[in-house]
Amino acid sequence: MKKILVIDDERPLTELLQHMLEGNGFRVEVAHNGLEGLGKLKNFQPDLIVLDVSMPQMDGWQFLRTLRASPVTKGIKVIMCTEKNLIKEIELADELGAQAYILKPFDTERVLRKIEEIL
Amino acid sequence: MKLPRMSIRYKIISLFVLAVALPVLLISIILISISRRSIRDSIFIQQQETVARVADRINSQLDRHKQLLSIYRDIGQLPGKQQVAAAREILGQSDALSEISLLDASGREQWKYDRTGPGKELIDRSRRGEYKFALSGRSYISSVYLSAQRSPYIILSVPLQGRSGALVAKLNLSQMWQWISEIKVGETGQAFVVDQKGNLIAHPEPERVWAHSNFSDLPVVRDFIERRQPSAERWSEYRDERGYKVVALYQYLPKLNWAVVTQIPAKEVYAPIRKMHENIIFWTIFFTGAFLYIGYQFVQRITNPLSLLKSGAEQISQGKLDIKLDIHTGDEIEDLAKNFEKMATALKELETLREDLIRMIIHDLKSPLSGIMGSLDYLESGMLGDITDDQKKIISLAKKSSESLLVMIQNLLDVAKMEEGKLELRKEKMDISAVIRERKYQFDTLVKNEGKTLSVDVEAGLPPIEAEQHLIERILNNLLTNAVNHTSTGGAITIGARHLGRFLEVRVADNGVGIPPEYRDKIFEKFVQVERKQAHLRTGAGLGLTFCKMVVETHGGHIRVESELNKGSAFIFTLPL
Repeated sequence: MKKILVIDDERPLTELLQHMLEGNGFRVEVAHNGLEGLGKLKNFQPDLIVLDVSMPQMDGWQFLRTLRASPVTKGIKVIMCTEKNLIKEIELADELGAQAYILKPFDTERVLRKIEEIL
Repeated sequence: MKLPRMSIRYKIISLFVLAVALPVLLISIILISISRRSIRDSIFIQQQETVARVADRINSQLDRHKQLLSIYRDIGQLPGKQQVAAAREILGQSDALSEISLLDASGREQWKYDRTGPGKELIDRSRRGEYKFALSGRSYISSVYLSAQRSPYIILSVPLQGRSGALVAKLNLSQMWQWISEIKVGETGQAFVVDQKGNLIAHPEPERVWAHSNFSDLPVVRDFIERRQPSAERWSEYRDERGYKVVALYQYLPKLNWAVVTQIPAKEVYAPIRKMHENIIFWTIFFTGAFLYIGYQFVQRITNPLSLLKSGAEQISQGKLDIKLDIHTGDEIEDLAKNFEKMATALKELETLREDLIRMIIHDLKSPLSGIMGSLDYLESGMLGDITDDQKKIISLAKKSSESLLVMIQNLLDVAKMEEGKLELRKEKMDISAVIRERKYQFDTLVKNEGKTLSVDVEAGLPPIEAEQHLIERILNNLLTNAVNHTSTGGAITIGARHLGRFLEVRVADNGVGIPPEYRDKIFEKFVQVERKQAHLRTGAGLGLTFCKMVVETHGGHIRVESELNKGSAFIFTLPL
């Protein structure tokens, strides 16, 4: 069973994603900011992380940098979610080794398709 | 009174000119006229002194010779041999005396001696002045005569003691000429002597005297002849025989009825005045120039910071708020600049706050919206189990509202971004006809449900344009949404496109209520104030038209509205090919 970590500060959205992804046969863990996400990673090794960009305490970019800096977590695939439609952000996501970049609000089916595509 | 617009620089400079240049000019004019007068006066006095000196000298020489003769008034009483010795003695006393003769009581010459010895031809002088004066006991000075050698002389006589005749002397005037030519009148001036008829008696150029020149035509001589004042009261100015302007004065010699005239080239007389003029003009120009220069520097010191302030203000008005004004004048202007910078900083903080606020609103609105829309999608997808048609309809209503909320947020975001100039266009080749057809497809259901029609009228073979497709799509969405909202049932909406020069023109028209003329420009503004009865003009999409205008203009196009009340409106925008 593939494991997914969803990190987003919008709780209803994380719950929705968790519900939907679990319904589609994934094991899902949820965190509400980057720091919490890093904590989760200690005893949960996901195959993919759905990562929001703007979050309190530690934002998506910081989280992604930390993730890529450690050899243990370097290989985890990442989908970035953001509400900002900026070329700079897409380029940054690419540079930091995110596999995909999804604009919010997204529809659930598209997220699901993207995830299945990447895994 | 409204003054014409004039920069501060020119105002201050004009003030300076008025306050400095004019007074300086006025002072220098006054100075010139005062000093001109005083210089003229002093030259006049100087010349008068010269002429008086000459006159004195002539007088004193004549007096000397008369006195010399007077000493020998008793010559007639001496024995004959001693008379001859006395005559020689007299001749020895003065080089200017050329002949001495003794007249007897009847006026006949008793003897005469010149420098060569005794004269042969003794003549009768009883009809002459020298005798007649002697008879009445007075000494005599004759007019000028010319000798056979053409040298001028005058006759002096003194009565002998006891009125027994006269001692007569020929006084050679060559000597006097010598004095006159020795007199320096200025640098290049000259002095000469005329008698009461204007005949020249002495002149530095003896030829003139020999030629019996008469100078009565000269204004100065005429003045002397006519007025016979002891001295000239004023200058005579005229052109001399060579055509040079001269300035002349005379001094009367009463004993002789002559006048000494000095004549100086006007150029020389006026040289000090001219020099003074030059000096005053030079200093006037120098001081005016210096003052103006200082004034200009002063003005620069005021206006340079002012123009810095002005450009700072312009930058602020263009949204550049991190200005640093380099003004260190140490006065109110510097304070003003400091306050200006403070104001700009405050504005910048405010602007940053505004941007942060917008970003926060967008984020905080969009995240929950993601939750709502995601949940609706999830429900609709059927992954949670089958749903009924009624349920589907309700879900789609919720979705529609969420979407229009999203459009609003998106417009707000884009308008904010375009205002900051941060919207980066991702232009690509796009086919406008395809986009329009797609819009029709998307809006068809909505339009039909509301009982309206949407027709497409696109010119065939339109060239592709370079634009950011999803922004153009959103313009069309905004305009179509507006059209649907502003038409009642039975409304007809057309969307068309055509080739227009170097542009592509897209037109979204409806036959709705129309827009009152006074709102036709305002509707593109960000927050348009609309009266309550016109509230429908405030479209559901909020900043929709502002967004459209900004996107079109960012692409290099133009948007406008044509409308007629109760007939409909047409929004027309162009995009460059």
